[in-house]
Amino acid sequence: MKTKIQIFLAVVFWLAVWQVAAILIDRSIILCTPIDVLKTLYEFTLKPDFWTAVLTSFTRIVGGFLVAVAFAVLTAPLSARFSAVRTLLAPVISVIKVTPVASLVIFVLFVAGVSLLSGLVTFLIVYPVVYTNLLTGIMSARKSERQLFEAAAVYKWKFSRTLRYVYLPALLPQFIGAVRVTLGLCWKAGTAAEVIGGSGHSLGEMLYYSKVYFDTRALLAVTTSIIIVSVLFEKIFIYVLDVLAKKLVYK
Amino acid sequence: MIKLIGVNKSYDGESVLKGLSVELPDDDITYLTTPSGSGKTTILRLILGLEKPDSGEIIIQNAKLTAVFQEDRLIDFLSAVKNVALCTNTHKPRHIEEALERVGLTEEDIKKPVRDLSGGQARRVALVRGMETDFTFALLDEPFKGLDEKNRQLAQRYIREKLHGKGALIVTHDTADTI
Repeated sequence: MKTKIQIFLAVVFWLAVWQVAAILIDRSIILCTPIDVLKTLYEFTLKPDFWTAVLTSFTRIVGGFLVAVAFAVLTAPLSARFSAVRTLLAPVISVIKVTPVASLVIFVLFVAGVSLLSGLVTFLIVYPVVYTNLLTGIMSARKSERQLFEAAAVYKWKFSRTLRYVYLPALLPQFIGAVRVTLGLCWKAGTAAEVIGGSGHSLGEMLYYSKVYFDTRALLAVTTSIIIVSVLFEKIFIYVLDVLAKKLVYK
Repeated sequence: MIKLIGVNKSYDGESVLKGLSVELPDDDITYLTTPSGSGKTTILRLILGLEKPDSGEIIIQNAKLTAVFQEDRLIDFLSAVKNVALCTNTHKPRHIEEALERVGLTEEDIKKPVRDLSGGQARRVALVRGMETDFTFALLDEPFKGLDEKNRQLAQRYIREKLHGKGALIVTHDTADTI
């Protein structure tokens, strides 16, 4: 409780600094006040186009994120089981990891076009992180949980039981950690892709127009909306994961 | 019937078992009491199929094996009842509860996650888990490790009944572990 109050006070402090700085500069084209941003965001929410943009960006980015997570969940165990799969995927994962996001965006734009752009870029950002964490988790669980695997073999557990009571408890913390990291990354990369690629009817497009018209209010209002959607989705996704883990594993 | 014929096993070039041949009766208890580090646990692991011998043969005929490992190897977030239930075919939780109560665990203890139990309590859960499976031959590695005298006697009595008419290999360095 004390920590929450301290964080709240820190936020209030920085908002006050922002407000005072904006008043001192007195040029809203460079820095508008937080109140101006909230007003602009409220005005956006009254326009159907804004909600279309939110929905478009959300569908593409979250879609890319979910497909990446699902693909990592499928391929990481395969890589752990078959070294050939691991070897085959290793260079691809390494290349994607070190490639600048801007290069990925332009490449995907050339190859897949604008409609799949933010989804695919999100996929490329999320997949290597979740895959690598899961693969590392499986490999280390095999060592750290070796005694339980042996017990499971002696007591003739089916694989589903070993998965539920040995693998999943060992992997869930790693998995949730990877998901938390990538949930933040996916919105950064996804909206950047929309800006660079000029995805229509998206939050990225709104950011792009704020640049074109040098509209700081719109820039900060759209940014605020992205942060809100991103944080809300993260909270809901982690909550669902927690509930599933409690129901399926820790029961 | 379990038979080991000329079994050799070494780790990192250091020989642990040299030409071991032994036949374990399937209706009696065999004790193995040699000093630590002489390969007792290795014999159990070889019989359980958790390791392969470098050479020699292990014959297991018509035996359903169970084990009580030297470590408890429990699923720490599950209760004692659930840990035992995962390894038995019984659908009668009362039967499992009774077994756990027989080794001195209370009604409250058996419903807690096993990570909240003391070392001695967890040990008794591991013992019951091994003994409540469907088996004809049991392999017990230091089964009463960490138990005080009162609980050791309870566990010994329980195991004696469970092993009645069955075969067992009990590995221990303490002669007080005989049942």
